[in-house]
Amino acid sequence: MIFQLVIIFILGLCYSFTIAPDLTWAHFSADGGDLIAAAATGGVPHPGGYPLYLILARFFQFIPVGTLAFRTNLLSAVCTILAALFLYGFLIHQLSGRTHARFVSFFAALAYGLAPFVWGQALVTEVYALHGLMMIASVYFLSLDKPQIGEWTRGFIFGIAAANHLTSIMIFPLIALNFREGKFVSTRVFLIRCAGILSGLLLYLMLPLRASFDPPVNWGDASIVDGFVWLVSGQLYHDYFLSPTFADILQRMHAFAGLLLEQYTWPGVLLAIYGLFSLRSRHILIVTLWMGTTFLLYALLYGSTDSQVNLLPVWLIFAIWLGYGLQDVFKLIHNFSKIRLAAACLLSVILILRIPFVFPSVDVSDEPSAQDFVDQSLAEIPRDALVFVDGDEQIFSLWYAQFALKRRLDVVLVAEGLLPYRWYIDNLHRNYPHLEIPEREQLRAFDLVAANPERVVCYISADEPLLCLKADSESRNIINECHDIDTIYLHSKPLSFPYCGSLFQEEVN
Amino acid sequence: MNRITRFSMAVLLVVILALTASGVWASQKFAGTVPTVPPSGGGTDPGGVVDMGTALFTPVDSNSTISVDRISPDCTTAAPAPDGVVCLADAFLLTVEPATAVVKVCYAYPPEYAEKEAKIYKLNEEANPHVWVEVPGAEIGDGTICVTTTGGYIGLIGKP
Repeated sequence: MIFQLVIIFILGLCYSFTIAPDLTWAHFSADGGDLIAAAATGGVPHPGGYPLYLILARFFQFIPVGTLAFRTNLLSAVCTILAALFLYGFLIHQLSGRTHARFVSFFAALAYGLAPFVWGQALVTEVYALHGLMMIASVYFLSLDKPQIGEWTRGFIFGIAAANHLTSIMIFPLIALNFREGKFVSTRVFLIRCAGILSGLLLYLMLPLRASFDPPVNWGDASIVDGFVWLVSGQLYHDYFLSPTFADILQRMHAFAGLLLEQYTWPGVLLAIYGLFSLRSRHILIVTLWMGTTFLLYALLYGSTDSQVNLLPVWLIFAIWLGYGLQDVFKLIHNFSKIRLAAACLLSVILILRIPFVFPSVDVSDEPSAQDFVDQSLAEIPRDALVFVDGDEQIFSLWYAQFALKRRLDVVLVAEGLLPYRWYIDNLHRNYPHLEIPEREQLRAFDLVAANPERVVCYISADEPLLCLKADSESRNIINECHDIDTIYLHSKPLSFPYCGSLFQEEVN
Repeated sequence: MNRITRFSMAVLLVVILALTASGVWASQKFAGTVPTVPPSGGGTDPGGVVDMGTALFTPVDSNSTISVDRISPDCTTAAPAPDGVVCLADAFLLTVEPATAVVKVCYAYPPEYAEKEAKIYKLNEEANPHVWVEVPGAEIGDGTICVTTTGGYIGLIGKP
């Protein structure tokens, strides 16, 4: 028990000093605003819907401490600590009876929890900390002996893992494996496990239910069958897969090598690869290689801006191999008690000494860019403005502010990239009943601007701060002063209205 | 495999990893969670319409194709604005194939522009020097001002 407590203490301490106190974009958490807002308003976030995450996030949001975003960030920290504990439990279970199993498992679990990438995910609102937890939990429960856990439950864990992140289905084939004996299970057991998986996947039915209440964040409108299928199949992102070119993949492979060395340092990677070669049990080899390879390939071949977050299960696998490598080294020096003790102390010291070096690169306890953006934008957007927003960070941060925190309800936020989708137009109708929305097939920003001449039009994108293109009657003289300013570009799009940015803002403020 | 072999192979792989580790994860050109807004003018929607953000170019003849380029910084690049009026918005070079094909051009038209009596102008390139000429038959309504015209330089011009 002492080792588990030390894991909780060390990781808890590290995470508590570095966790984001509010909304952040750090560590690939651009989607954080979407997830927080969806969880807080009973909504449905971007595909694939993440029903398990929504339930847990809502539970954490009830904790009466800090901001709404902080409470949701806490979920990631807790999930990562639990993942480290499951990793410890898994290795203890697999190495039981061998020398120094406890220390080896302890070391591997801490190495995982303190790996920069994993640590970073523990501090922000994203689904990946929970994803890592569900991956190791799936493997852990798969590895338990029969009396300890039923076959249905094993499948159920896999099912709810996929109810958090769709990529978990890549490990579904593992349920056909008899972990203890390293061969296939009987048809009967397989079917029971499949039933468990299906039961876990039933969590997805929560999405149509939530969508039926017309929440402000309602991707795909899952209350209708087509919308539900669109959402949970991740149809919006199907084209992303296999979109990287060969050169991109090659570049990513180089980057992967660097990321791997960054997570565990070269001695750690050496131990992990040595551990892989030292694996005696066929079932561990199959499970770890399968999981590591599939997620590595997925990360390499998936063409999104943040595809490296899919490497988190790969880092988990390397931690398992690291444990096996270390165990073999300890076995080698089994008869030299002083050397053994010295090695254990040295490794522990190295791990602890590494913390101050990793700390600055992951610390988001004082990283205000997202919150500053929200505060500044909401302070400057003119009343009743029609604001076109582009960029995940910008869109979701403003959704968080308006839908979850109920700030600036007068402003109309339009995610321009979602205008081609009928469900999004329906969302706009519900969220902004006073907005004039022309009925046409391919609704464009232009149509909304033209249909709402009384509204000040503003643009926000990743490249540009707030640009307001038209002033109300009190500010008309300010517009006139703006005419001499060169045309402003907004994400490669020239703006046709007179620019009245900073001057106009001064007037508004 | 004995320990020496395993260890040697591990060392070899780590050396390879260390030697090949370079660069950053290829991600910049890929999309995020929300589809990105396609740059206007670079393409057309299924109806052949070119959306330049706040101006739309719609081919009237379905057999025609159009392309639109913005001219920088404003309409005065092509020719000075007529006396007493100024360029109020971006100007565009509209290229039409075939050259005689007609295109509907619409600018967003907020009340400020109405007060400035803004109109869509086309550059008369046959005059020497070139001059901006108002395109007749403008239709104003639903927050837009629209004209039909052929290819050439187009701008929105009105009182200061």
